[in-house]
Amino acid sequence: MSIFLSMGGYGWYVWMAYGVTALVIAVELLMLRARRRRTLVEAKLAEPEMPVTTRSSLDPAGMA
Amino acid sequence: MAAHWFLYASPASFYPIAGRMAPWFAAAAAALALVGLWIGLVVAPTDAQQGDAYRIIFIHVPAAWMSMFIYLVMAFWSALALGYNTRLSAMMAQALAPTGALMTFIALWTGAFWGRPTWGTYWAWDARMTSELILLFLYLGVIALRNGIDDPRRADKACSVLTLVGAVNVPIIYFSVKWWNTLHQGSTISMTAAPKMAAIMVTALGLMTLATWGYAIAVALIRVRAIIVERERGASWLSHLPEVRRLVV
Repeated sequence: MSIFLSMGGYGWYVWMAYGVTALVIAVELLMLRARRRRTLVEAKLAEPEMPVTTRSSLDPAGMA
Repeated sequence: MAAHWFLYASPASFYPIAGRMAPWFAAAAAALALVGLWIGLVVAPTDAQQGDAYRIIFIHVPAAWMSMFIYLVMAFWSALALGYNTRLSAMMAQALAPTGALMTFIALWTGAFWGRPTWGTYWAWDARMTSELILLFLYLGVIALRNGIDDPRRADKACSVLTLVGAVNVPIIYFSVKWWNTLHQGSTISMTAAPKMAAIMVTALGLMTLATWGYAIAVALIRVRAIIVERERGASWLSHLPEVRRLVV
């Protein structure tokens, strides 16, 4: 395992390259998830013809 | 048939299609990356000249290719957005910019950590590296320009023009190693000649390249969905989406 991690003496370069790549990809995915959640909440709040208060379990689609 | 395709150019009809496609590209990317990393980091032998430092190639080259390719796709959507005034084209271009910037950053970063052990320096102002750095600034410039314009339709036009003007940089990056005497080496893989590396290394590089494609497509599809929701706010079809209806705010 330590032989694998040492990468023949190039461990610092190989793992800095791979590690930071994994990190920035993780950051992009987290930012994307946050953006999706935020936009869905905003869409909910901006609902024009179906105010949240008029809906009930008897009328889930707000048709009444 | 031609009219049929215009149906998908509406954000409302593309939204569910993108949602169905994204998980497949994401799953393919994860599976390909797993196998590619295994072969690249474990199975492939140590390089005779560069030792294990060469293994950086498996992320550096796919990211560098993708950084240029995403820009060309962005320029394509920008041209459509300007020519046909289609909103979805501009949204596609908008969705690609952050991932393009990410790929450019990865190419530059991994290049620095590959350059240090092989050339003795993290950075040099040679033509390949400088033009790739300009690509990063172009992506960031397009993102900043959009954030600076409140009206989305005007932002579409401005960003499309900037993207198309910046596209001249892509062939400069690609051919820089031929046109100028660069510290950066010429291409290892070419369409016209046999690869200058062992078959197992080419396999790992191919898998990682496909994984990068899958990742970029999946992320762009998920982001374009978020952009559609942002820009269609108030449209009635949005409030009928199950993911919006079941939200409790």
